[in-house]
Amino acid sequence: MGGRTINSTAGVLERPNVDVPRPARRLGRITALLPAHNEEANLPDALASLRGQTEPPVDIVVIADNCTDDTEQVATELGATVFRTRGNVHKKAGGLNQALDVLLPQMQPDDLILVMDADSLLDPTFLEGARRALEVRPGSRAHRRGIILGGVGGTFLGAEGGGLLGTFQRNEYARYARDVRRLHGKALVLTGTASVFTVKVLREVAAARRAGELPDRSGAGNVYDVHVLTEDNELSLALMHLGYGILAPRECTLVTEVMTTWGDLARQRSRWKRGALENIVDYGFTRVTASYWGRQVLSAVGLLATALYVASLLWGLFTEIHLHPFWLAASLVFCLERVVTVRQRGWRQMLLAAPLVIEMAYDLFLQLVQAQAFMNALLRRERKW
Amino acid sequence: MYNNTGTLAAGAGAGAGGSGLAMTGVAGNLIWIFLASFAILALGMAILRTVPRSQR
Repeated sequence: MGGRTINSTAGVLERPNVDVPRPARRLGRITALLPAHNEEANLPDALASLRGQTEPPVDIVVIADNCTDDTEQVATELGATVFRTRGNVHKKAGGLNQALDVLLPQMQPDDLILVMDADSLLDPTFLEGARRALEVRPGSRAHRRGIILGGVGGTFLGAEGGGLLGTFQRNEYARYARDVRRLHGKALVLTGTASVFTVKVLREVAAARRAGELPDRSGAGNVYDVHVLTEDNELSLALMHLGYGILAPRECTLVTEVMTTWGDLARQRSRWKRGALENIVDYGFTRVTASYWGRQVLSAVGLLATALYVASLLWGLFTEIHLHPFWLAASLVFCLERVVTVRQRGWRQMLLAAPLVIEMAYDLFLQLVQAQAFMNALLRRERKW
Repeated sequence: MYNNTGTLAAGAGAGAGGSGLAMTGVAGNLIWIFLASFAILALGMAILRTVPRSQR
């Protein structure tokens, strides 16, 4: 497929020759943005998942950020538009900002933008489901409640690989996805792995940052604040503070990579935890952040309880351990919960979950990482990611 | 995910308790009460996550 190049002050945009008619629907055409840093290996599958959508995007833009591999060539060969970042030192959020600076003025307010990771694979109904959710139709639940969605996000499952560590993460993601389904799509965050927004809303976010109505550590007035660790969580908070709702519709599912080493997992979760903490500190205690603060407090209390519990158990090993019928019964409930919540992953995972202690090792590891992230945030230690 | 409190590991193994805590006086009792309260909270959340519910 041939392509064309658009130069801008922010970067270089190379477009393939595509001419797709505008869908005759209330919301406009969908453009997919894929930030990519050395993603030549993952891009073909990610792009194939976009082409395989029941409602494919009219344009796919790969944001090639400081790539030293063949990401750009692979993207071009696969018919995607390549946007090459210039002088970006702010990783994913910085690349997205550069691309959005160029694209947003060219698009219609009711056009849609999908932001997805280059190592993610969308399930075929993702974009169709996202559009359906964003188009508030008379009689729908959102319409009855007067909710206007600022964006919709995916619910992700873990890709294969990673051995037992990968299995733990896949089970964790499956449980989170189950929770979201049981809450009818109510999600805490529009995940950066794949989320869809209208152009109008993203322009509003940037304008609100410039007007000082939203936090903006970078002070640049872009859609994404490049100085936060979890830009997707921050953008979710931004949308909610502008009065919009967020949703993870049932059709919007995807698969994303799992961490394959304990070190990578620790770095990922430490960044997530610290990022989430810093985001709510930036926003302060508001009607929107109240529940997020509550979760963090509960999480901190949980860390303390875990530490005390493990200490008491170790103490008991050197003295004496009593088995109490009530707590034994409680343990059976915990066994049941672990098994039931992973049921959709099959009997092998149910067997893995049943003894509690196997998955508890993973949970304790995550709790240790969270405790460290809490301390790092409290002591304002330098952020490394 | 970023604000998910995750599994409440402290409650998940509550079937066994070290007897030492109960023997350490007021502080030990307070710790036991704290742990038991948290375990009961975790138990309630576990039950809520187990009961059948419509999914969308």
